[in-house]
Amino acid sequence: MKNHPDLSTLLAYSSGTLRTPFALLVSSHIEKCHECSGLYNLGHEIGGKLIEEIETSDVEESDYSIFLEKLDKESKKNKINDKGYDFNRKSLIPGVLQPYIGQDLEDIKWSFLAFGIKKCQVKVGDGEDNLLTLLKIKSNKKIPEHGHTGSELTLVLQGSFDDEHGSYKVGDIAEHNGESKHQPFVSSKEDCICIISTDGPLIFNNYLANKLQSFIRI
Amino acid sequence: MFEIDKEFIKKFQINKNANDFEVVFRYYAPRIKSLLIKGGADVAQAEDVMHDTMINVWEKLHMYNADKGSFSAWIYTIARNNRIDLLRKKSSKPYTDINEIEIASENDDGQVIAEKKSISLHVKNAINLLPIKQRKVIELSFMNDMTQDEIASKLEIPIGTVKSRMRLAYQKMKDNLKEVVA
Repeated sequence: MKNHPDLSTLLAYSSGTLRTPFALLVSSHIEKCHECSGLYNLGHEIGGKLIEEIETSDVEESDYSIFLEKLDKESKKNKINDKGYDFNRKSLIPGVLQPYIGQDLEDIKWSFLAFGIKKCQVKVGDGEDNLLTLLKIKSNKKIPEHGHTGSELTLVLQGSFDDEHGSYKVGDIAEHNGESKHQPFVSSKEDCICIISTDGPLIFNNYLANKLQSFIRI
Repeated sequence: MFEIDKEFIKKFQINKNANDFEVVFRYYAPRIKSLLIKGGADVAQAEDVMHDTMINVWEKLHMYNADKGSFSAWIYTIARNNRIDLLRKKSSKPYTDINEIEIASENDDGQVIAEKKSISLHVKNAINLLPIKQRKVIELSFMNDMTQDEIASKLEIPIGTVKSRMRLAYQKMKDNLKEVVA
């Protein structure tokens, strides 16, 4: 894998301070990327060391016997309800995304966005901001050139795309922020399916695309 | 102060007795609560998340692998995920973290994602070697649970500067730990 999240993004993910849509994409990348999983674990070691050094003198001591009563009740409850999501480890869809978009790319319900481009939006939490956008783009198709008002993470699920900054294949993450512009185009023979999280609207150079921005909602 | 070392954890995992668990509880419970309160939780929420975390520690103890990382890092990760769950309790959509995928496949080596070499001993030195400004953003992120935007507001610096300090800090730690991080 050649394209990874920015180190600052990976660090924020390790500390648990990334918003859910971004966290899901970083987590998906880490599932397949040995290099980033090592760094993610380094992040947890940082957390572990800081927790050892934390000042506790102003924290009231907890009653161990009250905790044991709760542990007893919870253990019984968990034995009855202990059935989590059944992940499909052979799926092309990363495990963390499966509860939201299913286990097969063929099952995604697409809607028309523009010629050669289909979209599907998935809520990953409450509130309008907790959205992930899936795009399915035909081979050789170009997305209009655009800039960003916030951060944008794109994870490739199928095929590949290129832009001015690099070439992105399955599992790669493209990260852009307010300073960068790009015009992605699909470089694979098959359709490219990617999943995108943004925290600010895109700014298209194309007048029509800009007018459609509120409809596109990415 | 009594230090929970690798030998103690090994014994605890094998015997899994209540006396050893009490030692673990007395050491980590106030630390987890303090971490959560620093991150903005009230005392009752901090107590609840600490309880959830210690319940997870007891129930998932067999899943801890010392070759993958330190016990403190493992507990930090559980506490972090429980805190995220607390924030999402109001949400209709549950959040699935990569750790849950790992837990779901505990006997499958095919996608074990964690680094196999222990890095715990070197991390403290690497943190201490960071310049104060870089260490500060790390602490605000990990201890005070602040997003990059919130750190930028608190320190009155552009978000780009927060990102670049985080990037430099991580890069520096990665370089200092290159012998133990692949």
